[in-house]
Amino acid sequence: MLRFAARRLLAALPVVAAVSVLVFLFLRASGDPAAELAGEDATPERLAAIRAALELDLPVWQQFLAWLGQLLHGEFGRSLISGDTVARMVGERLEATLSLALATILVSVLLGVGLGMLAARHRGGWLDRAVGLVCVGGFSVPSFVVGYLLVWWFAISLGWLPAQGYVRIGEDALEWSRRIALPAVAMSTVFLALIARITRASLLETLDQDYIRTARALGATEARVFLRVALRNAAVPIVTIIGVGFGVVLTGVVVTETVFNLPGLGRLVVEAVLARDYPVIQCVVLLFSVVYVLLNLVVDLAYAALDPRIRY
Amino acid sequence: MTAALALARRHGALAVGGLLLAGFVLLALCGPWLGGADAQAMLPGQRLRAPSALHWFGSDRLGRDVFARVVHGSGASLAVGLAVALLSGLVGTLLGLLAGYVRWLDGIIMRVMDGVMAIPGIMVAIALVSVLDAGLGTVIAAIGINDIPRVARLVRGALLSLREEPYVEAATMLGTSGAGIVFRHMLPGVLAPLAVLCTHIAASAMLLEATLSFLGLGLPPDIPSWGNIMADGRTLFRVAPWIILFPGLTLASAVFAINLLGDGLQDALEARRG
Repeated sequence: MLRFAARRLLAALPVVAAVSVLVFLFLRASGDPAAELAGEDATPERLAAIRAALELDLPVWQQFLAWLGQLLHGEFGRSLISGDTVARMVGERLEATLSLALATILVSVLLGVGLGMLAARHRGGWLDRAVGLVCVGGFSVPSFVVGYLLVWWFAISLGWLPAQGYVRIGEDALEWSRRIALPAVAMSTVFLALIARITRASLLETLDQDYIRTARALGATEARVFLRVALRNAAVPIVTIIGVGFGVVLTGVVVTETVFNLPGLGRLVVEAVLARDYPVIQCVVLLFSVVYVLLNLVVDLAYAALDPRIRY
Repeated sequence: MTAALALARRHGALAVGGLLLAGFVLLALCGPWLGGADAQAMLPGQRLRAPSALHWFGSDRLGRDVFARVVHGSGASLAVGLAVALLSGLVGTLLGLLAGYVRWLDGIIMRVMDGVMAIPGIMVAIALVSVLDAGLGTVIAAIGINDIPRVARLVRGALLSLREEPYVEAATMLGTSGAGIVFRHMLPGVLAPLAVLCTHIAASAMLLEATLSFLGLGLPPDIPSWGNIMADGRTLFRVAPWIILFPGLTLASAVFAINLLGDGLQDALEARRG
């Protein structure tokens, strides 16, 4: 297990390297930082001085290494607009995004696995078809439209839940859960559909296996066959999709935080793009990408734990 | 005709999805001649009207008819989906063919693809849109880049397994050129799954375009794409929810049609293969 983990970690390194090169090139493509710092009416001498001070006159690969070094020392730069360190801005926004992402994953996994099991149990029946239709629907409705539908229904018409805003969990846990409920459900639609589909397909495949017949022949109850034997063996693809689906959750975060006015990283990056605040954009893009790569790594390790047959 | 009917009966999803999509395309093409209200006409006396027989989808804060705008904007939304599917389909196929056939390029191309895939799609789009100027081309490119790796992987994988097929070996021995083998003998084998993937790419591209435009990061506001119409309604949601809900549901049904078509296509291809 340790050797497998080490090898998998090594395999993730080139991907992280490729990502950091891409993000670095993005920063370079976004314009000349020296010109932006110097202002409109800078003399060529002043520009050259700033360039030398920022080491922009070095070859690109040396700049890249220097930038990488700064990242490793925890220096992520400063916002061009407020002058705050990007690390602090990201830190302040982390809680809302993390709450939303975790609540979404919880809702989607519970409902998705449940729906998938229901469909597999009634394979070919009308329940199966209904779940299939719900899934295609989930893939087709943008999460912000679901969000607005929920606001319209539960917040405006019924008045059960607040329409917008965020309360930190440390301040008032009950109010926090009331604020996070609608956005989490809105964001779940796509993810839930993805999980339900994979669960159904994966369960149907395992239910065809010989060992299921053996378990039934040995007198295991249908519930036991379904939950203990089939679900455990079908778990690997389900866990994979939870990792892959993080990209989906992220798209949801960016737009859902805007709909519900939550002070999270998604809101931060949208504001940064509208203000052309490149260091902030760069940092959030890099952060999300690294988390995405790491999450897929964790998923791969979870495989090995779930299914001892998997070894690379 | 009878063959088409038999196919439709066997593959309901394919037929329903195809018909729905054809309806949307027809709407987009004939929209300007459908008559009714003008998409840009501002009627000061008709501001923020709720849906009625006169304004099916209500009217916005400038008194423009939302239904007319949705019809007018369907072209832009569908065009983005089609363009992204074509762009990522072509570029991805080319890269996949290169990676699958030219051995020394394989590692380089696929590592770059891994890198692009490792950055979540919306982040790539946001980064590109923030650097380049807003416009139809930028949005198409920014969304399309995300899907190139998926196509390249599919084509490369298919190519690697096809390379071992006897008929490809036979063609090699008969002295067919490398390009001839790839394009005449191997590419046709990839087309069917490629078509399925491209339908799904078109569907997700339309969703991403609407999301970006809704956030103000997509198409310029003067193009009434479905995302832009919804962006207009953002601050007015409490007073006039129809400005967001109707275009949103229209978008959802168009994407639903394309997804249904893709799923139906996949089932039909699997059934044919046995």
